[in-house]
Amino acid sequence: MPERRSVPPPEKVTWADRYRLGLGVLMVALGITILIRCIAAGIITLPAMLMSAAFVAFGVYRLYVGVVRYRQYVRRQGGGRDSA
Amino acid sequence: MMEQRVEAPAGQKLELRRDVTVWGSYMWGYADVGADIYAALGIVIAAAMGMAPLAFAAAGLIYVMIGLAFTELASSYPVAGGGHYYSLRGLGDFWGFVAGIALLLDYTIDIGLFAVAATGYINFFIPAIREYRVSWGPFKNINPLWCLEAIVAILALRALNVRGVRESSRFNEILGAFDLVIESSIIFTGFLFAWQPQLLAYQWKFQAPTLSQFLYGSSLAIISFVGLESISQAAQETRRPATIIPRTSLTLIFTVLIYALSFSTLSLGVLPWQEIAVREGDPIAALASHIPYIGVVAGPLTAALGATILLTSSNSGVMGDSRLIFSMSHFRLVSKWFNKVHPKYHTPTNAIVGFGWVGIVLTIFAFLTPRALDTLGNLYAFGATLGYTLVFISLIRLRFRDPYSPRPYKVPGNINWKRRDGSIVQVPVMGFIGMLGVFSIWLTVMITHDIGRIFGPLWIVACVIYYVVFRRRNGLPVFGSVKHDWEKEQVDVLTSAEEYEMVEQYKEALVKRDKQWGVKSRWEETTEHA
Repeated sequence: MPERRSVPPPEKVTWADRYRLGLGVLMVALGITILIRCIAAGIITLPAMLMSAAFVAFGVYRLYVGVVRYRQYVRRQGGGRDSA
Repeated sequence: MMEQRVEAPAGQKLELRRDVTVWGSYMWGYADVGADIYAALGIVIAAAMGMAPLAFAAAGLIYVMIGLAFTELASSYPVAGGGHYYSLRGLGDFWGFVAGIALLLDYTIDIGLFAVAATGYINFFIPAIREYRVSWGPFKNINPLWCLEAIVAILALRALNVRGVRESSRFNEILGAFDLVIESSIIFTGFLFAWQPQLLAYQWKFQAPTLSQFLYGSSLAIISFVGLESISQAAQETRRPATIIPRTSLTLIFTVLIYALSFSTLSLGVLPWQEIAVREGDPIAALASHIPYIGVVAGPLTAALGATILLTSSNSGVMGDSRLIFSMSHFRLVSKWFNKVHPKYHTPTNAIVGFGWVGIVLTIFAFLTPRALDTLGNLYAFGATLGYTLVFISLIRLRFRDPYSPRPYKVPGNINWKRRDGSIVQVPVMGFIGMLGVFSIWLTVMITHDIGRIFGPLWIVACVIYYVVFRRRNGLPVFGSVKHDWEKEQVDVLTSAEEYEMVEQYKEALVKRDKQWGVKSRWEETTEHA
């Protein structure tokens, strides 16, 4: 039986792709900010730590997917630059 | 943004495939599931108090497993019936019916719950209605004006559905994207400028609920993850669902989870939990109003967006009801009376009007209690947890019963198990964990939800009595199943989904099986490699 198949390479870089990448960057930044604010206040709570870790992990995941998709796009374009 | 169309049930002519893109499929789900936090935040915080984030996390853990199960099933069986269809295939007619009526209960409550929540956000602009309270005889502290608003909203949605007007995929994309931007803005600015870790820590430590309250809160938190059926809906209407669905639904599941956790953590770091609890009609708008710099605009904007997106969710309840009962009727689980379509608009009028009335009755009933949203959430949790338990059982059963269908995505954590005939079945360990998890929430509902534990079983018993009478009258087996040609149906479904590669893999697996059994395969001549 086949395992999960990959999505075809993107034909162009859309605003949705840019938005997802931007949100990924913001999520990582927010996760780190929450952690810094908690440490600065000298207060470590489970929900805050959970949120911090979740934002960083999800942000990194989104960035990873975004970078992989962008590489696929570049490969599809034969090494050309983003034309969108 | 609107389009006219006729619904097609599972198993009938599958001509509804549209070119729903990866982004479109994601936004479709987000417009459905992402809206739930607007309704759930207030009632969960009212129950779980300072530990609301943990209640959301506990429910979220189960939700992730349910989501993964739906992803596997929807990409393998891209049919809109959802839990009802999977149970029918995996467990037979009777359990397909039980899953169907559990979902019907949920869709019907959806209509009322989200109409009440949507009008709650409209009341952000009309605080006089929000604050209005009267006592009529034994009914204390009730709000008939809010009830009236919700009924008007349901009647309007019902009329739109009878005429066959529904939001298009494009409309969902725009609404979902707008919602995502607004929610993200509130979370980012809220955590940066308004969130106080000290306030969160204080409430976490000193405002903890009792165990019973916490369990009640975490079982209510499951309503913030309502709408996973939209994954199967999107699967039916997407070309190449095996490729698109796993990717979009996994991102959707984790986005919804992280946003639900964020809102609860943010709320308790910005306001005392009591302030969110008293605004259970419009909690996100109340939260947004308290954020510096953007609060003046974000409050009203969130209220307007919340009302719109919740009305869309309420509408998905009306549509879900009619679509599901249509499918159940097709599989002869309920009378063909439900299949009757409007002569002019070609929509299933009886189902839309009938369940619309049930939704209105439930709404009135909820408003006879002091906290209408809590009462509806209470009822909702029963149907959702029962339906999801059956989805997990179906996931496990289908791995044994139908190992031949290609599975583009499998829930992680599988153990290979060799059967007597030498074939290997991958046993989904997470399916068992998820089943126990969601069943434990169902038990919690039965223990802690005063209304859910009475009304839920009553609904099931009443429907089962109807089922027994209906099947006997029509000479159909009550606990057995009518003979279905699932193999042909699967080939048809995959072909209509343009998953030709999967069709070939499926046929080859069936031919191999038939060879092992020493019988001539009816698929032999139709495979490319035969």
